[in-house]
Amino acid sequence: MQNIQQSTTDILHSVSLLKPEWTLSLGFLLVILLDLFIKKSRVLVLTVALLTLLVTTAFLIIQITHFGESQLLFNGMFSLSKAGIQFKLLVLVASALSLIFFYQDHRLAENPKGINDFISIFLAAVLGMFLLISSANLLMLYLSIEMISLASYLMVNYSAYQNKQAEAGMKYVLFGAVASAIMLYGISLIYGFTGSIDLYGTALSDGFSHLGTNGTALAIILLMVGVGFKLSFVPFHFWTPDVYQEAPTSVTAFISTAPKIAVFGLLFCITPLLQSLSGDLFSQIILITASASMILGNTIAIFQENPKRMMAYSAIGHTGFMLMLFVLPQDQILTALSFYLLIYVLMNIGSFLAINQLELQFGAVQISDYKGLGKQIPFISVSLVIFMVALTGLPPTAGFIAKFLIFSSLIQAASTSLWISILLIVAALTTVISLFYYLKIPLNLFLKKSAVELEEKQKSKIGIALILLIATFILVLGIWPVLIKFT
Amino acid sequence: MIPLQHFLFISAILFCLGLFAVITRKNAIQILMGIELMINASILNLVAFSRFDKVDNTGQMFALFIIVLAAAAVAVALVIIMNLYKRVKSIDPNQSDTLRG
Repeated sequence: MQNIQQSTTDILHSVSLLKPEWTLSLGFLLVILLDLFIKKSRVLVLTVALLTLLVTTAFLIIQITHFGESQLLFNGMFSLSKAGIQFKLLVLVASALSLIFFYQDHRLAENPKGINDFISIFLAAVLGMFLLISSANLLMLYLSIEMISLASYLMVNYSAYQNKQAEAGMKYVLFGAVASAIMLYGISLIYGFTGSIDLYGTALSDGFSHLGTNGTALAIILLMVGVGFKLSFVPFHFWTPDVYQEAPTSVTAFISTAPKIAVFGLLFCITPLLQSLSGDLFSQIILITASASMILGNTIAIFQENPKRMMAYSAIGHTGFMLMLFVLPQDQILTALSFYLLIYVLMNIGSFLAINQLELQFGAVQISDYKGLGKQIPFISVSLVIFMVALTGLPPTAGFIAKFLIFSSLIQAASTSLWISILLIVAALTTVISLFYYLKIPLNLFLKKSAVELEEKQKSKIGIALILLIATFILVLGIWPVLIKFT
Repeated sequence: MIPLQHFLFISAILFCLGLFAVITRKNAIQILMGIELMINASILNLVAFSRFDKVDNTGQMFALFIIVLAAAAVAVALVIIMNLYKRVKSIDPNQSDTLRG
């Protein structure tokens, strides 16, 4: 039992190690104040938000280069580890790209309330993700998951002015609230069974080892419901297609990447605890959910007509693919997982940017509307083809390297376990299936002819530049993957 | 003193009732009430367990945080349901089925 003086010294020592989080909170408050007191603060708010992200990145880089050893701050509430900082940097990459994207999105720009409130919610969501990656305690885990959830409900519903958009928003919030209530019940059971809520340390796994398999399974599965909702793996994926289709495209790009990185970061940090549970419980959960997500996501995506809905099912498939890694011990996961997440962020945000651009320029909402557009806007179309090839996982794009890394780290384990080899076979087969729907877009863009010549409306130059930049990056990383090193 | 089992039974019943309401009700507000029941079940659990955790009051602290966050979540959910009602004039989730596939 610590006395109060020790606690205070610990808190004072911890405060100075949280510079990235302080910066984000400060940026959040500044954006709210600017919106309140300054008229026409659109550009100013963008600058402040970008600066916040930049300064946070700088602090994180300083932290990671002078990194001593992992430690727990604030009396065991907050964990600081090198892997955690890497995941935070990945979250920042996704957030920075999305932030630029928000300003290119016509649905957010036409909102009569302006975009400033939205940006403050966005910064709060990023802060929530940072806290989630670092949470060392079930209380922190619950608070930060709720923080991300509330922020994403609001972001999805921010300009829901049509029936369908409002409907998707309602489904999202009801489903999310049920998932978090179930997770909460699981947390209360974990606390009751073990008498502790510390994710690091031995108290939880000791408590579970006295308990037996049934009780542990009940508590952990209830906990995984909340995690599964944020990751949108099967069977908690029902909200994903509706929300991805009806949210503004930039918001879809954000919620399909950044929260996933955060939750994967958290899962990575607590893998030792989860894998120490009795009876291989965690690997069984992973085996079932990963294979179900890959099969369901990739097969249903074939029948989709709306590109955003197709991307939603593809995202479910990719989540399953990344989940496969968690059957391995912790030290073998990090490289493959971070590389895949980085490439996934680039591919997803790039594709959504291109989809948004096509909708903006030609009003093309369905995949069949893309017919013959390839000749009219060659650059965007070629980039979109690159993204689709990368999402499938074919060389020479970085998508291939990412898939290759995951396969090669799993192949060792597959030779010893039958279930893991079945999982790998499912992964390989679903990758083949995914060709059918990803390549539907290039087929429509370049090979089919349109009956009517579509008229070009408006276009955003920054958006096009960003698309080209991301496409080049994916190609370059595909040829020289050594440019990015994760340790 | 009331034994721990009674609290656990009550909270399990509350949780199941809440889940039942979520699945069967035809009104978004009633679904929210079901969610509230589920959250209260876990609060009851935490506080009951905390009685036997002599070291610190972890469970009670946790319960306080949950009460605050549940209120915030309900506020957000009500706004979103209001928004849907303004457009569709109905808050029956079974009727909002334009999104399929």
